[in-house]
Amino acid sequence: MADNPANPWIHIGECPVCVNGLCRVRTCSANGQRHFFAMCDECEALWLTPSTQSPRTFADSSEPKCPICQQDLYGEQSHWSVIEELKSTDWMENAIFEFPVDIESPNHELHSESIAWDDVGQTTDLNSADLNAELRDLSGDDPRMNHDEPKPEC
Amino acid sequence: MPSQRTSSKPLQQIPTKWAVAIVAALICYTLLQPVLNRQFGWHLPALAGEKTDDVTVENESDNRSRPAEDEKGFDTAPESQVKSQSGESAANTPASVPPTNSQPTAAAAKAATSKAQTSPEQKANSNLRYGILQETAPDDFLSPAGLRYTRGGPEGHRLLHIERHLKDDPTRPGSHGVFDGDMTQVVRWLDEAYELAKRGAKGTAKHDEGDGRTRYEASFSKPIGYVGGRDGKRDNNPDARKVRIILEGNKVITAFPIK
Repeated sequence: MADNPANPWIHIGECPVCVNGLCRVRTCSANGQRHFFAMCDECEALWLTPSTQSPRTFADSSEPKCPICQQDLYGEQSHWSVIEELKSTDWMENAIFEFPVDIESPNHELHSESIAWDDVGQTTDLNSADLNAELRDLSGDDPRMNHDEPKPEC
Repeated sequence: MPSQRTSSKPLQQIPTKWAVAIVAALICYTLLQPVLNRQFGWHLPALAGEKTDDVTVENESDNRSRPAEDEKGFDTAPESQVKSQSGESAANTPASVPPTNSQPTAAAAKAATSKAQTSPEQKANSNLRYGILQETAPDDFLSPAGLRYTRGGPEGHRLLHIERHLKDDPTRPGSHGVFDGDMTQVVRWLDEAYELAKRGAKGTAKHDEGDGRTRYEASFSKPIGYVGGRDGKRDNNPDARKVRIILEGNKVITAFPIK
């Protein structure tokens, strides 16, 4: 399973099916091309467009496949998206970025805000690499930032 | 006196080397008898002082009937569920896996040959995951109420996914239901909730989500956990008195406590 860290959490909202999970954006690759979809990290509901209002499907419970390329949903080629991958896509504009920080941490006011791409772009005017660095800075020294538990419903 | 002499005569007539050989043979038999019985399933008679082994076997045979009794409990699952179960599991079950109903028999046979080393309690627990889940195929568990826990999800198994709800993650955006207790308790709660929701009992709800998915909810009279995650923490981790179960047919996709 190639669920490597992806900070911050990138999602398109709360899952309307299980009403508990987050519809997190995933990146999958086939033939060198990336494609994106959202998946509830609790119930594995899937969206092909960055809106939970759009039609949804469900991953096969026994053999879950990418809804686009039909490769293994949790295979090496698939992982929770990182910001750089989403640049210049609809997903970037519609996704919500949240840091996995404790609200009791001293910096939580800074971190716990959901950040929309528009906000980030307008206020920082950074390229994607700088943006990632900026977002990492925002996360402070919280060691957990390097251990995002992409495993659903952490 | 003559009679005493007569009775001691045969012993005196045995050559010393034969006496030593007989004693050695008896010692060897004493040592090997339980091993041979255990290894090959033989029933070689025990010498004096070894009756405890027989008692153990009796106890074990008594306990061996427990899984069978549990199996009867599983038969109470709705027939449709049992049917869909065998059909669905076909894709992910190796061909060598024996049919569900033959497994207890095979297990009992295996137990009969490898007894005496495991206590009856250990044996019962090893047959049932979390005390109530029968493994009907590799990594495929069936609860008494008919819920199936199979491979799947990012963790690799639905039970592992549910285990994540035994612990809070206060950094997680949104909420994260956290069960009180351990998995042994949780699987019982889920069974209880499923039974209630299937019957449409008061305090339960059932939503058809399409594509064979169903969302069940059931209320409990006491808290079964609390709401964690960042939202839960912000609200001082309120009690969770309901459980929500997402099913595909009777296969558990996820389950967690909610407010």
